[in-house]
Amino acid sequence: MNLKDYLQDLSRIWPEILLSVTALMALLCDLLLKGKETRVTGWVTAIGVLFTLGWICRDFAGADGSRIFGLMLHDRFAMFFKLLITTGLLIVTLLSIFFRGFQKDGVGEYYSILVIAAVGAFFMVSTDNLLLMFLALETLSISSYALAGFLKRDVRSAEASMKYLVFGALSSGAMVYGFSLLYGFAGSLELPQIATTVRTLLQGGEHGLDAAGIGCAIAVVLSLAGFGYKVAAFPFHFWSPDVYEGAPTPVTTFLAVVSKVASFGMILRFFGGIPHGGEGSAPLAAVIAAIAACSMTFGNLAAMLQENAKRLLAYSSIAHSGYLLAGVAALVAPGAAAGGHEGGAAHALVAGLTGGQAVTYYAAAYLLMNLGAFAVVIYLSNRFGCQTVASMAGLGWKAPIACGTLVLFLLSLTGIPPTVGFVGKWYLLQPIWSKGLHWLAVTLVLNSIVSLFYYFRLARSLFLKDESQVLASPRKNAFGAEITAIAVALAIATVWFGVSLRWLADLVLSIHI
Amino acid sequence: MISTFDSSHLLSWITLSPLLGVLAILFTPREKHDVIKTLAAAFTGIPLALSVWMYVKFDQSLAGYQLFDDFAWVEAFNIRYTVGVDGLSSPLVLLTSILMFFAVFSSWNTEKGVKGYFMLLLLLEVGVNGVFVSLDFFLFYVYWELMLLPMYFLIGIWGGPRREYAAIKFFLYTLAGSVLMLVAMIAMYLHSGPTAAERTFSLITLAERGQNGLFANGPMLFGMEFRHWLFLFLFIGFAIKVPVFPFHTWLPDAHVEAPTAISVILAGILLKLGGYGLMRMNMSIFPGVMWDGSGPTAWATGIALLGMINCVYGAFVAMAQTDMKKLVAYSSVAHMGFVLLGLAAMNPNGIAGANLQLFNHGTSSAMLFLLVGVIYDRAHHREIAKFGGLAAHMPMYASLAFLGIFTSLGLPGLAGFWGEALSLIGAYEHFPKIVLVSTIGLIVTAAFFLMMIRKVFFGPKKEIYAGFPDLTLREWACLTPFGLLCIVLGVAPFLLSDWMKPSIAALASLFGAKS
Repeated sequence: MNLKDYLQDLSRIWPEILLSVTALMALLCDLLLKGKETRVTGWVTAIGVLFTLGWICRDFAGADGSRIFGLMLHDRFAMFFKLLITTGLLIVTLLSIFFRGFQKDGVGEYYSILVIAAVGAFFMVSTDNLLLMFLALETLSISSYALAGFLKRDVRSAEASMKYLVFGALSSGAMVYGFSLLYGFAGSLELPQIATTVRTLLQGGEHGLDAAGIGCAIAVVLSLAGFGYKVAAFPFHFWSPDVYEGAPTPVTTFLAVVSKVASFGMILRFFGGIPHGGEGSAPLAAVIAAIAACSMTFGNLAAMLQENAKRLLAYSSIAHSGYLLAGVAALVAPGAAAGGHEGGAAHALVAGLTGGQAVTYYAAAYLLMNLGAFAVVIYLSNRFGCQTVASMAGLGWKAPIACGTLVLFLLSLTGIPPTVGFVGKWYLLQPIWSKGLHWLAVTLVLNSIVSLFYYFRLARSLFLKDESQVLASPRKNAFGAEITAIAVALAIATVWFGVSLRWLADLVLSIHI
Repeated sequence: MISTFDSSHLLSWITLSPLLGVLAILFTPREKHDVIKTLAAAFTGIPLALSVWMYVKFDQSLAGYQLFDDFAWVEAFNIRYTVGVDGLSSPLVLLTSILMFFAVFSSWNTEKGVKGYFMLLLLLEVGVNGVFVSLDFFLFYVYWELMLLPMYFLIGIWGGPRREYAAIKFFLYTLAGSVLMLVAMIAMYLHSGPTAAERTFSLITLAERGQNGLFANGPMLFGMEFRHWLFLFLFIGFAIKVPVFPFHTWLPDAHVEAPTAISVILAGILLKLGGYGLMRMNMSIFPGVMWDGSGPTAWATGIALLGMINCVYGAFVAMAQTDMKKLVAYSSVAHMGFVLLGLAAMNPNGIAGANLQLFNHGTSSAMLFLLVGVIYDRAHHREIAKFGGLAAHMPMYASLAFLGIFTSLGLPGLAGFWGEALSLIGAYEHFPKIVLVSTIGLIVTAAFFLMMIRKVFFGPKKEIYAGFPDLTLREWACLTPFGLLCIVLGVAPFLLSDWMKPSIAALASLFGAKS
């Protein structure tokens, strides 16, 4: 590689470089301010993130699918996910600035860890090399462990961090074992080669899978376990409610939104190569579909019992992982099954929208509506000190704008038009149905009825109780107006993408996955 | 088929003008109650005036859709913003506009959260009128779901003692129906053409392709034909709205707990969406499921049976009620049974009966709920047994109440008669036994309404009611238009039926009727 190529490759990772510089700036800023005035550090970080966001938007059209240092891809898919991650990071940074729950000292390094976690997320979505994928994932994970335990004097925060670390180590181990097996079978760390090998091996012979095929299946399932842990899918979800509850709320927002979106970007990269392999991928699709169905059902049922708003959103995010995994199942499932039986040409379904595109869209929808919901939860705890659903009674009348936007976000999470959540669900259902996973489609929509019940427990508490039932008294210096402004901006985006579907739809359709 | 593009965007204005009202109220200070109420009246008045204009402009000799407004929404999925009306939907648009306008007046006394109340009311009107005019399934679905949230809060915040329960029950039931509709919509879209370019959400194209047997030879899923699944999913979605037994249990709760104006809208309009949906989707797109070329299939018989259960069961349950509002609510269940019977008949008489019943039940049940609201405002209870001799104290009220009740029980000469009579006549052609049993419902309906009249308006006078003022001017203004409609449409049903006739004939021709 000569210098010119090197510089050219370097110019394609400007967003990563900008973010890394931002992380260093945050550290430096904190050093100069001697650990005080952490809000200034926060604003410096926010400006750095904003620059990165601007660069990604500028660079978006230039993403041509070329390789960077032979390890990463410079394609639209990566750019889109980077856009989502940076948007999420920006909102989380702003929410952290306005969040009241941090202790007085030692918050400076918080911002740099936050940004470094996002750098890890950037590499996760752009690499197609298993080794780099693992390193990037660990960058995100280890930063997340530190972030979750950031309230050093809070027992719950420490417990959250510990739990997260132990479960995380276990699943990372499983995943890296799976990766090493895949390397053994394929002789390469690069996903395209691995996909070819997996496709061939999973195809099997006349008598089903041979020994190598079984080993390969085990490797894929082990990797899947690692991914499942990152997105808190059903059998691997145990850490998430406790961690979400114990971590400071902006960190919870980061884990639930940015980290999860990045993980789905990685999952799509990983499984994106396999689906064209015909019937061989059917069992794999069935496994993913089963995990998806269990996640959504379990997450929604468990959420019905929650009193704490953050725990409720934690279980809701388990359910949403299920929805997203259902899209992944549609991506992996062998094509055009619905028309294959007896219908003939009239019923051969050429999927207009692939599972990968649907998941990509839903990830964007998930990001918007969850950021909004968490912003309002932070607002309520800042201003009224409310954490539980019951203590929020009647607050809708005290803070109609913020609580009104929360109702909108809940509507979107349920999947009711005219919101982006509905469009997302509708996109997900298309490939799921056209790949013949009818039962999964019905499970998904029935789940949204269950979810309505607990989402609207929040709405009921806020608006259906009288003002006279308000227990909480408003606090001063709660940054109410600032957080409300963020929530309103996200609400407008939620409705805008729910009504004017064209722009985001065309963007997602231009992504090939 | 879309040829008469109308540049005046009349239907879009009818549908979307209340949104301007929502915005106007949003920026009005919340203490200015009178300004907010006037704005609400104005922005329900606009669609009313435009709907009357639509009635004038509507060409009653055409069977197809008219007054189109059509442009692309999302090209990638062939989603279009298409609105248009035919003889089935335009009367319901007019009904909605009338009821919404008077609902604003009947809630003039609202004091709690006035700003939110009227904003939600206007939003509700957007949703309802939107469903009636949509000719694109995606748009239809968006409007269909748009109604849920306003209704949830209108019942849940301004309702009676058990409002929280009633509100979430309404929301869950309706959502359960509509998510199944969502699955059906996606399946129909995906199967409507082999490639993305040929797929469509257009209800016109879907109906054409459906009538030509597009969904007829789909794959078997879990032992049932593909089109039967679609039909079933759509049917459940609409049946919950109608409501059809056994999906009706949300209705008494929602009606009883809702404030008067909202009960009026629920009974008068929201129930109509179910019947309308059955015609527009199930019957138009899947005629083959209900009609096998020579006679009704088991599906049609099943719908007729459900209609019979609604008629008889609804009437008997209404008879057992001690609360006036609950009685009226269950009488709606009975009345909607006739709609099902008429639709299951699939002949011009039956379909005409169902449509007349939809419109006339809209006016008569609205009137009954308003009447119950009048007495509740004075007595603060609705127990039938506690009333007595009201006719002596409130003669004007009593006379209007008699008019409403007699319309509702189907007295010949009043509007309610035509729908029930034609539905039964139509259904007799295919289901004579079911019709015979259903007439029990008619008798029981007459019985419980007459018993209510006897207990509430006649009998010994009770002193506590002696001081009750008769109707106020505002109550008069709300009630008389409905009273007039009940009489006029009873004497001259052709005002309605001529309007609907070509569209009804077109629908019936799918089921072997000669047009």
